[in-house]
Amino acid sequence: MMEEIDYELTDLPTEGDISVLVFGVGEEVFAINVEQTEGVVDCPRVTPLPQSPEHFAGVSSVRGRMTILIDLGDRRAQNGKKQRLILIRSESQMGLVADRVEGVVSLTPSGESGRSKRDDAESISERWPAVAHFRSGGRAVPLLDLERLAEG
Amino acid sequence: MIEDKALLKEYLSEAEEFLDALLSDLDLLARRAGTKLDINLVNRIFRAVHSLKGLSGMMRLDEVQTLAHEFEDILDDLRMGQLALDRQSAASLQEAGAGLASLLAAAAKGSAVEEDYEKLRELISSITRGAQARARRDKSAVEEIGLSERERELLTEYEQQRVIENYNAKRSFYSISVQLEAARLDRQYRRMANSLGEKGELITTLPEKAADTSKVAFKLLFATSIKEAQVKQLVEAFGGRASRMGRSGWRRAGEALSVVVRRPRRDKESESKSSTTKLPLALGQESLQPLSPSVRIELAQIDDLSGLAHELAIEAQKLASMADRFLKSAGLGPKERHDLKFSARRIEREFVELEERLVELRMVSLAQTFTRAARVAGRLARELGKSVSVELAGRETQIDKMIADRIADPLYHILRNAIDHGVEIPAERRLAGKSARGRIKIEATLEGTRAIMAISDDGRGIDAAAVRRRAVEIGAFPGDEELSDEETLSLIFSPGFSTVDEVTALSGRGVGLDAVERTINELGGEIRVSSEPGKGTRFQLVVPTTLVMISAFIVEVSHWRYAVNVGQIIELLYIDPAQVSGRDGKRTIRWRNSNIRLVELGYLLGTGGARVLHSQGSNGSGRVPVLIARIGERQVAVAVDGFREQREIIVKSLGSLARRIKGVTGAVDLEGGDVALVLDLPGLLTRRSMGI
Repeated sequence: MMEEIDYELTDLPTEGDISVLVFGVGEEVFAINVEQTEGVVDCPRVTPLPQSPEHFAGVSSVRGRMTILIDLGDRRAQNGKKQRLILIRSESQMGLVADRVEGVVSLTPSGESGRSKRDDAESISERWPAVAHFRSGGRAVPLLDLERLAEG
Repeated sequence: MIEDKALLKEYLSEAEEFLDALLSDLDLLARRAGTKLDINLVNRIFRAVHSLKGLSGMMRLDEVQTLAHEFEDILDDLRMGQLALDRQSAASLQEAGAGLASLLAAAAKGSAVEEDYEKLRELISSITRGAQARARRDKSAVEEIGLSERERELLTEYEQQRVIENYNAKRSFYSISVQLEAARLDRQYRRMANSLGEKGELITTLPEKAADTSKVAFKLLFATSIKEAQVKQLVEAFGGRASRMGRSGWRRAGEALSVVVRRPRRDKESESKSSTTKLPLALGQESLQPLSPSVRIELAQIDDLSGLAHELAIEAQKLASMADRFLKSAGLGPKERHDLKFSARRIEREFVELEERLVELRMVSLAQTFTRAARVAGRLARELGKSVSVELAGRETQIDKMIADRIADPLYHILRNAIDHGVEIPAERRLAGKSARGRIKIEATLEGTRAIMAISDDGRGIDAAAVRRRAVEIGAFPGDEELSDEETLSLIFSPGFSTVDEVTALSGRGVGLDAVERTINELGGEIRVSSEPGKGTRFQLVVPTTLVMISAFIVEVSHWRYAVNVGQIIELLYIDPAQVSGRDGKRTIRWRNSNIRLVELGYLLGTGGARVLHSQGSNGSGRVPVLIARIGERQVAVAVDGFREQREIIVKSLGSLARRIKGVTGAVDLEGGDVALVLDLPGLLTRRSMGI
């Protein structure tokens, strides 16, 4: 658990609590809905996938299943560091490469859901699609939209 | 009656195959009546009736199942020598077979009436009565042969019959004790059984308790005509000990047992009854109408069609992209443009649908696998003196035929373990406050594109501490790490793992759960286990619902391996760089008297640009490995860094995310956890606009 994270929802389109897995890639921090994950494993050897989008790091066999690895960071900056792979529960057979997995937090909408605070959060990265954003320790954390991410 | 039309079709189609075999073998049996009984033929007939019984049970056609069971009893008596086969009984069996065929079809469609059942029932019982074959078996003789009570119980009727036949053939009997290494049990046992089989008959193999846990002990009953010294020498070669069994004991046993199989005296009443029994027309006349409108085809034929459909889909894609180009340059009007575009896209879409439909053709339901599993479970439980009820769920779940076939052994292995080690004996269950009857549930569900088969029991569960200890002992785990329950239990899949002191004949056989896991992994699946001490264990086999197997050639480019369907390769050769004409993207080579394009796989894959070929060579010889690929009507030379080997591979899907990546159809697991992408050369070459 990552209890030290304080958070504030911006545009989370839900009314109930949700648990999210927070992970870091390079300097950036992301989150995904825990219900969309299948587990976290050590990142296996990756076979490059030719002519694929830049964020497709390649293919690995995980638990007997071919998994396409999505790397949200700069591939060249890995420098052989030990990485983790967050397995996503979907037909896309996708996994997210993480430099570190920080933990799971529960998010409760503050009653302000629907009112976007994106404009206030200058540091929010627009590079990756998100369904919502929240603040954690002064950092803007996007809650990734995996469907759109898969679409590229 | 079977309401589900699809199920009815499947049932009739499968039943028809068994009925064909049954009726043709019954004809053969009738033609040979009066000569020496061909046991193999009777066994084959028995298996066909047994399969029909299973199928009927699965479809809840209880009456048919009961009649098939009675039919089985007659065949059982026949092969046990308790029923003599003469022309009359052979003809009656033929009639019964034909009657079963017509009744089965009528019952499935709901058109059978009670009278039909009654008539077949009467015919079957008349065969039994006519033979008057049943005699009370005298077990006392078997007791004299020196086997323990437990061993005597394990001797089947068939084995007892073999004892008698060997006795009549004046062979000697030996009790052979042998201990084989658990790790090499299969191979050692096979070698020994083969050696013994060459010199006599191995009648039975009974498990014994071994003093050494790394070994498995057996007691074998062997009959032979060779000399005692030769038997001892033969057995000693496997570290075993043979002792000749008392001839007097065997003689008495043989004599007593032979009473049972002496040809029975036919009494006149039953004979006349048997000879006058006639089936009514509707039941006795075998219809020439086929039971099912289906045809059975080989999986390989579907694979061929799939390959063809795939080629066509590629061509259709090329056509669609050509159509796009023409739209811009051909000066067509708006309607022509629309029509051309519409037609091209439609053809492309329909070929994709054709491919999908062909994949569906390979799908079968798990009904047969599950029903067999339930039957096996019942038999195993009886053999072990346990009582088990088996519940089946999700039998209608559809998966690829090849996967259904491949998961059968793992499924049965887990089932055997559940009954042998999981479910306790009734007394132990009562002490634990459970019902005397153990429960096993086999359930299939779908999870996206994967099927999950769960086998759960309400037995004693797996002792995680014992698993951990054993894993440390065999070196599968260093023992200095904290493991979650799930991680600890997964250690049971380590090679050489077994927590039971005695590897029983039932669950042992040297095939561990590591082999089960390997099979599932090869299919692109995974195996999960969870257990609660005292409450039970649950295994889940997770496999893809579809897969494709192809013969592929593995090549290497930039230190990565790739698989190419051999159907797309015409020839493999090494070329001298001097043979290459042109430069950069327009290189050609001379092949079979014509110039063909040469491209580099590294360039196609985007892993490297065009090489300076004359400085290359996979083996330092300066020669370049090239495969000649078939792209529609043309040929293209594709240069690679190295050739590896040809092998049969199961192509695993890369999931929905990779569908838009052209030129890659999937991936295959290689040794050491590596992955090779399975390339589609025509797709790859088309995508790279090679102008081919």
